[in-house]
Amino acid sequence: MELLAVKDLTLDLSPVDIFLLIVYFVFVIGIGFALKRAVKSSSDFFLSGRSLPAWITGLAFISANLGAVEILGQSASAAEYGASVVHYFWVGAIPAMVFLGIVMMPFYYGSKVRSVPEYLRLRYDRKAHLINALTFTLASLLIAGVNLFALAVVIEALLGIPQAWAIVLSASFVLSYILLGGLSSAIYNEVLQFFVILAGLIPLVVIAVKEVGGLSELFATLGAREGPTFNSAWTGTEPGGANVFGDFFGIIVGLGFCLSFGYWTTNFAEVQRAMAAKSTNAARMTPIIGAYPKLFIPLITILPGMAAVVLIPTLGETGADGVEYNNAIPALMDQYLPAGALGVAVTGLVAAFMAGMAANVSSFNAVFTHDLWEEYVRPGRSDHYYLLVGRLATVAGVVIGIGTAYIAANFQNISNYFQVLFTFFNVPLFVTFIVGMFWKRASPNSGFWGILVGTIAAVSTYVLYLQDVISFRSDLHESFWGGIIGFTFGAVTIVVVSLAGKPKPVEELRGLVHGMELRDMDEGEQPLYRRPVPMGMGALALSVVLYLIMSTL
Amino acid sequence: MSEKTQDEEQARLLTLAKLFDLRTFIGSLFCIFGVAVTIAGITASDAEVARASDLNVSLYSGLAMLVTGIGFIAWMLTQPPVLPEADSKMDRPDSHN
Repeated sequence: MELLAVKDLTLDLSPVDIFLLIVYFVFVIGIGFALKRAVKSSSDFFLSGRSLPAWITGLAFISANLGAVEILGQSASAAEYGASVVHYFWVGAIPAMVFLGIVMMPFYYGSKVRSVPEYLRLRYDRKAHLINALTFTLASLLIAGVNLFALAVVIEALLGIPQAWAIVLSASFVLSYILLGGLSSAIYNEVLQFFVILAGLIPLVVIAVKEVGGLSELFATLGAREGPTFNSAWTGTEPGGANVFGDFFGIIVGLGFCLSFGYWTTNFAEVQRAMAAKSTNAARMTPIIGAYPKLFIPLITILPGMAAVVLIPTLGETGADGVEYNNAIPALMDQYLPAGALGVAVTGLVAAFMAGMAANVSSFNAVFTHDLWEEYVRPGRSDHYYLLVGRLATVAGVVIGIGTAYIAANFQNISNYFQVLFTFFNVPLFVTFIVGMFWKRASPNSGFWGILVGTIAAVSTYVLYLQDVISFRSDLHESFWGGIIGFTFGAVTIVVVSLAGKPKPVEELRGLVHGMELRDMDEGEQPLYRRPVPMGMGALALSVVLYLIMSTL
Repeated sequence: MSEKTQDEEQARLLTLAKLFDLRTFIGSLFCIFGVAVTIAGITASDAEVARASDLNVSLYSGLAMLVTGIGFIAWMLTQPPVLPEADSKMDRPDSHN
């Protein structure tokens, strides 16, 4: 992630823009103080007391994944690769979120586990639990650091505040509001940030589309200039085609199933938001309510990225006037937004960075406290004790995050490789969950081996690709197939190990396996808009409609 | 606890719950943002408007934010938060499904 601008992008903020930024920061801290009185137990701190309505957890669910790394990264990918980036949303995130809500959430919420690793401990054994808890805490800290570093770079580029200051300043804001209000604070701020980022980016997109002469004009211009794979998502996805996303099988099975299901259904930073919901139904509705706005996020990330290709002539060039792909959105802001609207957009980006980091910190402290400290180091203490541990873990997490931010600043390539590694870890983890949820025979021992062998297979594929032993069209193409290979090896391993070993006693599987749910899943009494299955199907249908609309442009 | 003070306590809790409802935060932030950005839009120079593709974006987005902010406050007032804790403690102490 190289965000450093070659061209000077320092924005000319007027007093009103600075006023907006300050008001936002006051609100962020104010929310922390307001929610402080609601935190009385560790459940309040780590899971918001399981009390939030579905619209709040649903928006927090997508907002936790709408950090500025994602916003800038997706607009950069769109500027570089074109329309195919929508696959991450319409084939990737949407089906996975619907699946999480309809199929998996009853097990997560119904079994009353407090974290994703805890499910693994109950369904499999402590080996599977420990490997997941450790890698998750490591990954959270690393990603928090990467977010923090990206934030500092943008603040430095846009506002002229030195990186070191920006890192410490924004980290202390995140620290104080999580410390005060726990997960509720993080979730409230995520929802607030979601609306601010919309208010900041929608005007920018409207101007950008108007400047290029409308949507069809934009797609026609890009098609003529950059070729047919740039303005159409499925062109060139046949075997041997030229689309950088690779072949359609890799996109649908690799990205759509293995990688996306792996990320969205097992990442505790996401699932934790649904676990904070007030009822099984609200928990199931969380990712499904999130899916609807998620369908349209490409309009504020991918669309401006593509428009920037036309509007910023030096985009992607090196040299004195070159603008990095990552700076597509900041460059558009610089070029078009007047005082007021500019302040909202800057506030939105800064807010997105903080929310991205807060999501990692608030899930890190929960897993560290319950799954590492309480399980392996100091079991059986009072709730008050674990609340204190959680608060200390929050401080430690942010401090380590600052440290990893400096590491990320100096070794950008290393942190990229780590991120790739953790991505591969998600896929075998997902296999382990899905087999465990649907196959009673899966033995306690098999989970650990499934995760291990699947990860090794996916990482080996990546290494062989780097060594030019096997070739793919691009890193993206490789990652989709790496996901498929990791999934297959993980699944085969679980089956083989299970058949060779003893199954878990049936009475220990209650609430954890399909057919043995603890809670009544009848949704007939609810009005239509509160029923996960029809609403989920609606989101899937909408993503097909959006593909069709895009293909007519 | 007498009935009167219990009612007062309930009313106080409800006021607090309203004040700390997420919708109040979003609503008031958007009202403040809306007013500030609308003013920036009204006072925008012709050059600024011309630069933004001949749209007075600050004016339009400011007004839209103001409407959104009022909408959130109205939603909170018409469907006020319920008090689950007080409810279960006072009315049905053992009914934690």
